[in-house]
Amino acid sequence: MKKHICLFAAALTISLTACSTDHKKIDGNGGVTGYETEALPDGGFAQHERIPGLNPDDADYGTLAAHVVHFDFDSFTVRVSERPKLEFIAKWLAANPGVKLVIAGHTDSRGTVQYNVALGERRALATRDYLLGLGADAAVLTTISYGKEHPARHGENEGAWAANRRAEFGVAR
Amino acid sequence: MDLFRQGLGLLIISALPFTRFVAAQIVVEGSGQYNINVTISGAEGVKATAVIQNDFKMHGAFNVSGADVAQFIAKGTLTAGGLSGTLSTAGGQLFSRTFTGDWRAATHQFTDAIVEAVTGSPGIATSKIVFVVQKTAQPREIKDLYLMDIDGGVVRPLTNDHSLNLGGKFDRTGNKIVLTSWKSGYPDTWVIDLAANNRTRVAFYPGLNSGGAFSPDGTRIALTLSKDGNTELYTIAATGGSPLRLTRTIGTEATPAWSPDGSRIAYISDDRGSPQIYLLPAAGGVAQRFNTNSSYTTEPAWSPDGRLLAYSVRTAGSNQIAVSDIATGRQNVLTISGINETPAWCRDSRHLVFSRGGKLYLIDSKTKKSVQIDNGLANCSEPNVSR
Repeated sequence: MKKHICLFAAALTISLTACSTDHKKIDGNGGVTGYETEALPDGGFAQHERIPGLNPDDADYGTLAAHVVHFDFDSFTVRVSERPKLEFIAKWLAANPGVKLVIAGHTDSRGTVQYNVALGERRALATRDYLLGLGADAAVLTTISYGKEHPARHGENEGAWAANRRAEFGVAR
Repeated sequence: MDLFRQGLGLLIISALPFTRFVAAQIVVEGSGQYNINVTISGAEGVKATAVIQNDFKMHGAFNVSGADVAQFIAKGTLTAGGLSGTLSTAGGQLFSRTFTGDWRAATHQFTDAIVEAVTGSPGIATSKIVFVVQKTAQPREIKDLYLMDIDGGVVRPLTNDHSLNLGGKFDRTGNKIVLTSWKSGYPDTWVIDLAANNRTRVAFYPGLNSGGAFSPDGTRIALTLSKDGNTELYTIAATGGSPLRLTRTIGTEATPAWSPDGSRIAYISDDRGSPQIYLLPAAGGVAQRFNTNSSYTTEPAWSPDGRLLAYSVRTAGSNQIAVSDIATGRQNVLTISGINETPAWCRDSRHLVFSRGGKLYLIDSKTKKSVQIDNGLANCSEPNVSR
């Protein structure tokens, strides 16, 4: 299985390298397509890419564990209290050029599985967008959601729920 | 027959006098239980009899009774290639048929033939359930997809990945299952082909590729992608590629469910603050909110007859399964307490499967009676049932 993943990662790397100069991207079928001619949504979200060679399963979530960003229930808004953490991450990225980060979004255990998967991604994207606003390089950031499936703390109480509504930073290695 | 399936039969038949057998398939529906006596003989006859009696108990419209009080007598004989079965009443034989397959599969076919003959609606005993099993809790949760008969028999793992596998949903043929798998490290959409016994990754765009659902004709998959910078609803070709974007909000869109004619998609969006159901033309267009009298509604499921939406509504500390008539908006809350999740319709537009507390249940939306599906596994969730 590991071999399979590596082969795929290699193929993706080659594809991305081959097409990065003419602004093409990989479609979900593994083929190369041109940019779709569709307007950005009102929020002006930036498109993003998976980072070749960065498997979130292998990322180091320990180094930046003190800077996990927390969210309110059913919300993806970056709270004022969390901004200093993101300012730290932005500075850390600037001081560590070339280092790539995966932003992993999570939810608490309440609510249903699939909505929480989408909400976790929305939290990761909101975190990423905030970092881009602080000048971070989009090329070193990618997102993933685990929904409610990987809690930081088990339990059905306010403390566990609050701890689990989060975006974590995984350093590529 | 079409009238019965659309529910109009209820009005017509209930106006008739109490003569059940105008034709082989006419019986008053929803008027309580039918007493049925059923025995199967042959090499595995004892086991097959237990299986078919359980089929009728799960269905809910039948009461397994002694021959003396039975309105219907079903007799089956297991053969080398399957089962030959008859259904009779005091008035005579309703059918004599043969069913092919192993003893268990043939027995479920016999059940469905009886159910259809008596109620006029398709039986569900030959349906399969795909579901998720959480295997370990530490250090990181692993979830795999499993397949089983609707009665909990013949359990079979479909994935074994040391990663998350979520949200398996059948196509209309029951031969393919779309799911979200973190096997690559990222959430990708995969299609399992049961006939070919393989799986193919069909969407692995940057970010999220989740919540996939086959269109009724099997050519498209509706899903959530975040490739364009936000979580939005799209359809893609069922073999991958050709994304068509359907939504454009700052919020989160998820869990698409197609109308049976393929013209519309029900999904959830939290664009107005908390998740609500919306309906949208599948080719794109204006979304309309569907009122569920709840500020937190997720997991829409469209009934095969097109008339009903099932979904789950969250209240403080609990989650309930409800059904609404799409035309009238009339709501029927099926469950009472606990955290009930992920409703999925059976082919008869009457029964649903759902999960509660790691167990799977079959519920009759007419009587609100539910039975636990005993599959011998703990930590089950996200059931979906084949048509």
